[in-house]
Order: sequence, then C-alpha cells, then structure tokens
Amino acid sequence: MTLALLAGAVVALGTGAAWLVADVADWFGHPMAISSFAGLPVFRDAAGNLASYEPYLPGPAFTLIGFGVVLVPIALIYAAARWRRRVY
Amino acid sequence: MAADFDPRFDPAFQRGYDGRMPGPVVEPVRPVVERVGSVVEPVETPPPAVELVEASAEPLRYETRGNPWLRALWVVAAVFTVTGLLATYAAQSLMQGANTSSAIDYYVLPLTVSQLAPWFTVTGLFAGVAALVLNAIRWRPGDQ
Repeated sequence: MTLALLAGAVVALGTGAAWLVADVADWFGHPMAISSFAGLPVFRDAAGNLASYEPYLPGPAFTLIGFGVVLVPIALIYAAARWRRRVY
Repeated sequence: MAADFDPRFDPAFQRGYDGRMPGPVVEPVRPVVERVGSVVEPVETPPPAVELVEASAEPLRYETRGNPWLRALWVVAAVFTVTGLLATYAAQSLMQGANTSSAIDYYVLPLTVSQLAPWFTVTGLFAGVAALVLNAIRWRPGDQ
C-alpha cells in the first residue's frame, strides 16, 4: 500500500510536470500579433522578432502536481503507522 | 497450560503466553485461631489455577522509537514547509520585479511558483501535524 501511494505520487508529479511543460510550450508557440491597444508587453523571440502573448493562465496540471505532493506525506503517514520493529 | 506460568514473573515473558493476561491471584487461606492455646492446622490448599482473561485494550500497532518512516515524515514536513514559504516569497518578488526580457520569465514563472507554493506549505504543515499526532498518541509518561 505504501509503495502504491508513493507510485501514485510519482505518477501524479511526473504527469503533472509533463502536462505543465506541454501546456507552456503550446502557449509559447502561439504568440499574438503586436497591438498598441492591447496594453501587453512586447518580447523578442529567439529569431529576433517582436511578439506579444496573452497572459498565461493556470491549468489542471497544477492540480495534478499538488495531488502528487499531497500523496507523499500520506504514504509516509501510512507507512509510519504500519511499521513495527523486526524481532529476530 | 495457564497454571504453568510462574507468578513471580510477567507471563508475557514466559513460554506459552498467547497474548491473554492472567486473572487475579488469590492468596491462600490463613490459619484460623479457634481459642487460646489451640490452633487449627491449616489445610494444605493447592494454589488456585491462574485464569486467563482477554486483554481489553488492543495495543497500538505502530512504534515511534526508531521508526524510519516517522523520521522521513518529519523531514518531508520540514522540507515542504520551508519550500512553500520560500516559494511564496519568491513569487511575490517575481511579480513585483517583473522581468520583461522573456515571456516565460514574465508570465509563466511567477504564476507557476505562486500556484505551487500553497500546496507545499499546506502539505508540509499537514505532515508536521500528523507526525506530532503519531508521537503524541504513543507518548507515555516514562518516555524521554
């Protein structure tokens, strides 16, 4: 059970991190046309072109990462409560 | 089987102990003085059989002393709480001194740090309280 909880934590953290990276890459790959009316800062991309972006909004990836973070102490609490000293 | 226990020692440390506690030991009957000058000889009564009764309270299933998982829980509690508090401070700094040289630094980094900070702070505090409760439940007056 402890290993299952820790495995769940690892899966949630890994999936959440991958989701976040993919989300950011997708957001970064779709710059907006520059407009002086938008009131948004203008950035220079790697190719030297000017680009603007909509503000990045948080997605479900953060919830998944948080779920993985919570699972870590839950697994440790369960293991601590089940642990007994081995008597040889 | 029950009579095999030596009453001088704790049955828990004797052969054949199966988790049940022995009942109360009855003292042998003392000689009764009928009148002055004559003593009724005491009848040699065999010691009463030790009756085993079920222990009422089930012992707790975990130990705190030397528990490696409890130590790991303390470490996780400390690391998560400190990380969460530092992330909260860092998120505030990133938002105040916004770096406009990169869109990632301007939009993504402050949001990511500020979104994850509460998870770490709350989970770290939760782990600390849980570790404290686990220790408190098992605490006995004789413990250091």
